[in-house]
Amino acid sequence: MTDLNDSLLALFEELRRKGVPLGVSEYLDTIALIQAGFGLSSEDSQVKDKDNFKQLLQLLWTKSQEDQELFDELFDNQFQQFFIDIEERAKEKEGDGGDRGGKEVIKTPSQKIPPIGLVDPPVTPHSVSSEGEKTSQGKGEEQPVILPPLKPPQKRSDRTIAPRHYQLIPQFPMSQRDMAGAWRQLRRPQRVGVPEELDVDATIDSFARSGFLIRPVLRPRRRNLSRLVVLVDRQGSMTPFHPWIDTAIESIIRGGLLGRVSFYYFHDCPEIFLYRHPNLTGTLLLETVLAEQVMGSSVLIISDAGAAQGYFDSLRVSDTKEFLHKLHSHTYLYAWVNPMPKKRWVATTAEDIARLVPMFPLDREGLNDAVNILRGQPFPVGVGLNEPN
Amino acid sequence: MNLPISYTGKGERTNVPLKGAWDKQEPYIPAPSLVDAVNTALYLRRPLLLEGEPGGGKTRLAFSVAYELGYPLYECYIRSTSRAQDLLYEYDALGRLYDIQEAKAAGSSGEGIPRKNYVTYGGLGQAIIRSANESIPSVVLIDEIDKADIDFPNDLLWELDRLKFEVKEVSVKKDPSKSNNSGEGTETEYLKYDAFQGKERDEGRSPFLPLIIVTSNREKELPKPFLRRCLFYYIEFPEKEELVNILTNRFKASNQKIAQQQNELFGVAVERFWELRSKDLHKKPGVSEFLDWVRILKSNEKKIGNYVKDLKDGKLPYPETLIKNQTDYITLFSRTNSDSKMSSDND
Repeated sequence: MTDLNDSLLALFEELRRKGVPLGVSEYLDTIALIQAGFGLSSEDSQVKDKDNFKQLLQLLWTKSQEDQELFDELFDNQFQQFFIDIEERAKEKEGDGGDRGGKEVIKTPSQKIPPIGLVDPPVTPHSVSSEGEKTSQGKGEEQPVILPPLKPPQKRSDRTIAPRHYQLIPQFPMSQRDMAGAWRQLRRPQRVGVPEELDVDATIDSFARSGFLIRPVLRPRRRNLSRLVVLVDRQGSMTPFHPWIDTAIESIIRGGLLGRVSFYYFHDCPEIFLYRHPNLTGTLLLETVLAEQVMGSSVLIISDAGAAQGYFDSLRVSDTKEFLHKLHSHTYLYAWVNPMPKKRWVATTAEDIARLVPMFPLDREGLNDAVNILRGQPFPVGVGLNEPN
Repeated sequence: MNLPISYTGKGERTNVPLKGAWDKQEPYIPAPSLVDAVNTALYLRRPLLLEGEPGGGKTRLAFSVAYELGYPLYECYIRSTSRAQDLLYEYDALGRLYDIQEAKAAGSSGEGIPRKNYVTYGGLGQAIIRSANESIPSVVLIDEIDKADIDFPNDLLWELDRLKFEVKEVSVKKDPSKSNNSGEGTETEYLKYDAFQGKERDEGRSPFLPLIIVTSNREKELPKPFLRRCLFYYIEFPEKEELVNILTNRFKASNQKIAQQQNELFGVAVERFWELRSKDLHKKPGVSEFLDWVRILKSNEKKIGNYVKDLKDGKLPYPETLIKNQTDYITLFSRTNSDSKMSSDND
């Protein structure tokens, strides 16, 4: 059973590391299911067994289509060898005419299947190293101690080795799900619309005042009134970030604001025009967008602010400053998210811009801070258009 | 594996139906992996989250499972204003106030009707009550959970996990018919329902717990803690052969001749539909649209032959059942303007 456990745990941990929401109870459930005969029980062909097993784990351990793609890769990587070994052992046993139920094979204690995922033979490095010490001691203390290799040299047996897999699914510093979680915090619940909900307190109050019920007091339901305008820098130095920014945009769409988000694009710095499409077509006047969309909503700017170029450009700072002044006259809820890590802002245009506007790197803490600013928290000390720079 | 209860997906009753069971047979053909998924969910009694294209049969699964297992079915259709509370119960405070007022006006002592009568239970609430009081399991369908407010799934976590709830408006310690608010202690016990009957998850209650099926169109990213508790299954779009199966299962012919005609129609219709889906459309037609379309095509037995011919000629009769979007109309019909049906069917 150890091999199966190791592989399961390795797969589980890998999935968790990649941001799939899983907990101990999911793991225990899986073990319970396998013990109850789900997934690995069928005495049919091994191929079917593998599919069933994979299906079961997929059902329990993935939570979206993206997770499933990721899972496919990881599972094949982790379990291919396992199933090849089972198959081979089954064949061997077939020769003996012995019992070869899938479960039986796994449970046999005298198995020689190495831990899945490692190609090393099942020799512990510990025993090898102590052996090495003995030989060096025997030859005399003056001789430099030759450290034994941490891992014994690979010994390939004649059994079939599973081909290597390369994982080509893009992985970003922060998963879409986590980013969507941050956006979920962006809410401004207010009671607007038709009064339809009974205000119990107010009704009782009126009842108590007058002695009888004149009419119930109704109030509108709470609704999330947050509106978000996202301005995205495209092309040029932002090109390498496009896939990541696209994921971020997707997370905003899925974040739960539903229809109250609009996206506009610009290059380097919004000057006179904004663009409706990511490839910088569909021109709109900046003034129009600010007047029609931005009034009172939250504005998020996604741009490297010149950090990717890695030098200082005073013209860009003054252009950005001008834009921020325009923006500031329409809303005070704005924040800047920079896909470059913070340490790379130093000595570039970004460092100066970060003094004008609250700028955060695009990671978990940064995004949470940005969302807090968009919800109306005050700017950090020393940041702002009117601060002496 | 030998499970006490299992779903086969064959559309036949496998169990003796329970009291109040869902009685409408559902012509539904699930993929084998979906059958396994339902059985796993039944074993664990964890919520099964279904995603997939609109019109792919996410909702219908619940009906099929309820019928086959002979379970009662409780449906919760989520709207944008739905709150988690609504799935459990609603308390009609207003109705009660009016009743008291009326009773007062009539000169009686007031509050003659127990508070319990003002509680209306939601789908999940009813299922938990059945489970708690009668040990009758059920299927609960929570449809399109992504339509609700962001907090909705998070507010539901505890109830989904523990399968119990309290009615905060109704206290049970004191006799509700004689209750007057004076002189009562601080100790209040609310009306409670617990599907586990005070037991733990692995203490043998699971055959009596409701099976919860949640569907989502993925308009919103569901919160992580909610996802963690669910089993996830993505319903793939059926293959060609499966579509033909679905059709023959759904539309049973009355006699041999019609059956033959129908089969011919089904074959051609599936081909044409497949071709349509392979085109670059904004809104690809789903299985339910397809079924509607075929239902119209076969409605007039005399015309079936004509439609078969039309379809073979590359025409698309009744496009309004399949195409739901102006741009898609244009992409489809501006290039092949040979279609004369278009003008009459589209406004």
